[in-house]
Amino acid sequence: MPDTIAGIWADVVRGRGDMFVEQLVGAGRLLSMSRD
Amino acid sequence: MICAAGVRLVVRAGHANSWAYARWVAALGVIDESSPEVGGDRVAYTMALVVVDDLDQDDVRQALTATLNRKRPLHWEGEGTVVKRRVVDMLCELAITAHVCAAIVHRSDQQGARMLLLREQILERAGRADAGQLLIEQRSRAEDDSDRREVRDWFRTSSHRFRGI
Repeated sequence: MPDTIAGIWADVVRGRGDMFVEQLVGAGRLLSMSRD
Repeated sequence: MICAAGVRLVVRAGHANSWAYARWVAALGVIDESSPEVGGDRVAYTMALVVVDDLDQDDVRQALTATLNRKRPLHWEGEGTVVKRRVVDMLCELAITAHVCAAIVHRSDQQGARMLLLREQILERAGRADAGQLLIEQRSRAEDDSDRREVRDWFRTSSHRFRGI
């Protein structure tokens, strides 16, 4: 479960996977994201 | 609801007698990472914290077991779009919340990035969610010991409750 969420965010960092992040944020499941 | 002492009172809506069902709860924090290459010698060292209230742990475990009942363990990067959609749909239905952070670092500095993200992002989020019981994906013994030291040291100097790792 957390490895999946880490994987989704890793996809976003690489320029893909935004759709899943939007879905998780919209559902109130993903509360914060940050990238240094 | 968060009370002055920092303890959360959870009242489940829809329960026959919600107030009678109210319980003081804490949570479990589950931590894992991903470190895909992003070009050159750099990786996106990514850590995720998933918080599950103690009250919801059994339901979440059952839902995961039912959905991920397969011979081959799920590995996000290797899955196709259909499976990814199904997993994300499931995550949206579960009683969980998540925080995720990433740092772009040289591949040789992943351990340093991990400690930094734990200290400055993940543990603070866990503490605020009263997820003082932590479950971290197993790695090598030395790496697990390093994680345990970092977590214990962090909670020792914080005001948040630590329940174990």
